[in-house]
Amino acid sequence: MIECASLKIGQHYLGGNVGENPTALFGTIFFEGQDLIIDSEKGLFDDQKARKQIHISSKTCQELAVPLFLDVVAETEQAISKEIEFVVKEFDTPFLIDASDEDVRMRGVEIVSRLSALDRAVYNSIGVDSPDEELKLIERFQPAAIVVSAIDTSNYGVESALETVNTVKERLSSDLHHKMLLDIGFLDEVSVKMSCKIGQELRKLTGIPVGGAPCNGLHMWESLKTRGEMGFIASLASTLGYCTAFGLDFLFAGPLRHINFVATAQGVADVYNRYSLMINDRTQAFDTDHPIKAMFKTG
Amino acid sequence: MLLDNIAQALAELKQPETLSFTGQAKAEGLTVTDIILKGLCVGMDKVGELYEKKEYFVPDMLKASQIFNEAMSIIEPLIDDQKTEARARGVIGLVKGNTQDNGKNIVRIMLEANGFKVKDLGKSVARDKFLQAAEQGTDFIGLSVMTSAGVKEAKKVVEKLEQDGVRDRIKLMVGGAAVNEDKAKNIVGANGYANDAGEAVRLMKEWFPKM
Repeated sequence: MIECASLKIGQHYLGGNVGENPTALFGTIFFEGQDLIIDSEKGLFDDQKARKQIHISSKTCQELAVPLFLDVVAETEQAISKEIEFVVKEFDTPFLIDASDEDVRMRGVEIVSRLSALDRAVYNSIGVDSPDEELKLIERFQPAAIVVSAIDTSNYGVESALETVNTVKERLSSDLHHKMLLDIGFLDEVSVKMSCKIGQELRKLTGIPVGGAPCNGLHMWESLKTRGEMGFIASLASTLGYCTAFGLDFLFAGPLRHINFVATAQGVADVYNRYSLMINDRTQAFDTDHPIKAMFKTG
Repeated sequence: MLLDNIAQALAELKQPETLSFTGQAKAEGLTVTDIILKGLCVGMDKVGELYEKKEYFVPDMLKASQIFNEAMSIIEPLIDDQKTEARARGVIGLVKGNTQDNGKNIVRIMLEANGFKVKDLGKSVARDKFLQAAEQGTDFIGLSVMTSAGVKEAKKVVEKLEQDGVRDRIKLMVGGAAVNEDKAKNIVGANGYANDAGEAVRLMKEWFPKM
């Protein structure tokens, strides 16, 4: 077993011993279909609505000491430029540069560099098929963290995930290895435990923080959606807490507007992990920025 | 009977039995087309039905796909033996940003089994690679589209082919979870849509009848 590294991104730390740092929540903003989007290709959005959503979720997470990252998704280079500029200039929250198109991601990291915000930027994501051009650009700009897609659907499991990670490491400059975060790739609405166990094992074998998007499966679960919004949000909170129990370091929570509702439950799960760590190691101090301190404040 | 056994074993996700029955079918001289279409594809269809009914889930689909590919590797050497001159030559790949390649792999194998020469461009393929294939004289292009963003990407591939003046020379087939016939033809601008490997073969045979 390799001790998991602790990685600083903006004001937050990810990784370390399970319970040492709280699990980070990634809340997605600017996705197609979101009510604040006006034109997803041109990057036009209702900035008042965006500002309000970010303020509400940031305030809640700050009160609870739950680390929040803004998952900034974009379809085009034009869109990512505008969205990142907005997020960087108006907030100090760490954020993800997230796009399915590598040209858009690469444009995103260039913009972040120009705005001097690389120390709180997470590049999402690279994988075994990433072009050399993209890897070179990341090496040049050095964002705070890089999400690596550690999934091989043709042979889903720990071994293939480990092989995927090793393949990416071989292609990635060694000075970026300590910046990696592994996305274990949740598959669907029922296999969350299977994915968490893969993540847990991968974390032990590599010493790299792990996480993923268990929220995606919930959105595939049609009958769950018929239980109403609160039923869905409670299920999301339960799922995130469940994943946290396996020691995952970061979790995509879906639309940012859900963060305000699930953050408290997430903080509770982090308290359990932290106390478990403290029982075994009383040197773990209370004076850090963690839900175990923040969630016992009164008045 | 043997083909039914292959189908049933695959539908029940029984790896050793599927591979054993497939090997037996090969040894008994059954044709590749029969083993694929009447055995393995029937099994995969059943797996798909169970998935639709929410009795199977994504990991079960992946397991089925894994068994299917292992069974294919047993009979793949026969494909070259049974092929004559290629009906047509083309490329197939997942559009940029899309990586779920099970369906695309099945289509490729089925097309090869039916006499088409197919170059697999892989997952998340850049537009230029499709363009390059068209410029090099490919007869057809198969685009696999698995996400809504992928639909837009496929449309851009077609636009690029048009800009380069090569669109009319090739047949363009689209398939995948994010498209239907309407989207494939009216949004992407494809010549045809295939909702499964059997349909892909039928379409290609229609476009490229035997000489």
